Amino acid sequence: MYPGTEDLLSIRNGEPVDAEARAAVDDDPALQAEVARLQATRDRLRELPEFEPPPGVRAKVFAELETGPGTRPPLGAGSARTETERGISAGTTGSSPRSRFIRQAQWPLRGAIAAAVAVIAVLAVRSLDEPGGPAPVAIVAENPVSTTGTPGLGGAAAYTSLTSESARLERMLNEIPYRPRLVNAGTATMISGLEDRIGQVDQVLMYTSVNGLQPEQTVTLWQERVDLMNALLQVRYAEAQRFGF
Amino acid sequence: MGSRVPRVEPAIVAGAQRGDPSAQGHLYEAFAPMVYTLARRMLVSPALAEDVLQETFVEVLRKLHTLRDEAGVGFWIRRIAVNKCLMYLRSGWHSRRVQTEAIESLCPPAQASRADHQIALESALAKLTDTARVVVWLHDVEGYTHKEIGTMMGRTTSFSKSQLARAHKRLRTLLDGESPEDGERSCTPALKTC
Repeated sequence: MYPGTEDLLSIRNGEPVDAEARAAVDDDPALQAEVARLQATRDRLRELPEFEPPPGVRAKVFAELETGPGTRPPLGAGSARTETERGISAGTTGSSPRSRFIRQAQWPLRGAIAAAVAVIAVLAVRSLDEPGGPAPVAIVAENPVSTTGTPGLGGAAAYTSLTSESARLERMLNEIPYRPRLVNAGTATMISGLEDRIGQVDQVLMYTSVNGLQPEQTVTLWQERVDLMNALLQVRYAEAQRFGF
Repeated sequence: MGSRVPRVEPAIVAGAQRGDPSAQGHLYEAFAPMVYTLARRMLVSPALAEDVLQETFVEVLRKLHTLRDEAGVGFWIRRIAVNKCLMYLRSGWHSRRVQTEAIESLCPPAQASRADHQIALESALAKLTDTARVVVWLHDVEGYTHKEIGTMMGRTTSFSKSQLARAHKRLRTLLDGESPEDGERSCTPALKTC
């Protein structure tokens, strides 16, 4: 067996590797040199210098904290500042063909947004109904317990199914082309809201052991992630349809 | 270097948790370079990285009271920044045009050799696909495991491994094909070596 880059990286990282691959590297100076080269690349990456944060951001952060939540468009919503900086030309914004296009394709998008709103409403009601359930915005649970958050046998099937479905939806989302640079403000807000919520769920899922989540809470969170991903997919798909992909 | 997580005194964290502006400012100064560098390396675009920096610290300072492990504040902040970056990449607002703009400003030809190589590597890193770049940075520099990266990206451990291998193959091609002596270099003024 001739080891590939994945095998060589595993050797570099000190991870378990196929015995034949290991033997091949031990016997071949060229492969050893390749492992050393991969190691050197990692070292060089680690030696890259830091960037200096741009001046003024600190003031913006504290100004935003003082003015309270909700005063700045969420990440990815395409703030006026960043759109200007990104050099989006006026020619692509609000021209008559685009306006006509938008009018022609409102219905699928409105339907998707309605579905997304429904999902968010259901999730909100669900969280109200389960006061003891996990709160995605909490980074650390108030009363951590010793479980690892990995579902037991009973929830294992649901857990596996949900994580697979989540990965499938993620792949489908990635297959949708880049979003048009300008979209309806309501759509942008909806998408950002869904993405923020997914991010919050992800954050809690990453900290399952720290948070001391019960296995059933982990499954509930994965279910919420799948629901949110479904809603996001619908909105993004409808949005992409408007612009003919 | 990009991957170091600074340490701050627990008293600073405690002060920031109580809302002390001086402690909050200290926290920002301590961790802003780490967050901005991480965002630049993951997203490439200075404008997007600035957005991430701002969003990250707004969230950090709003949620700091929920942090129980004061010693882990740096890792907590880094994690929030990583999530912001991934969210941005997932959102699709990220444009390849922005990347190209960000990486192709020219450096003066006379640079120290070490800086030349760093610039070449920086440029090659920026030319990777979003996914490959994120995986190689999170794994090789930030020290996340393949399992953690797979989970963060909603993928599998194998996906992370294969992306890492792909990233290294591509880096090799880019670096071998673009010797710093060949002329064109990329840099940004904010990079300390430029």
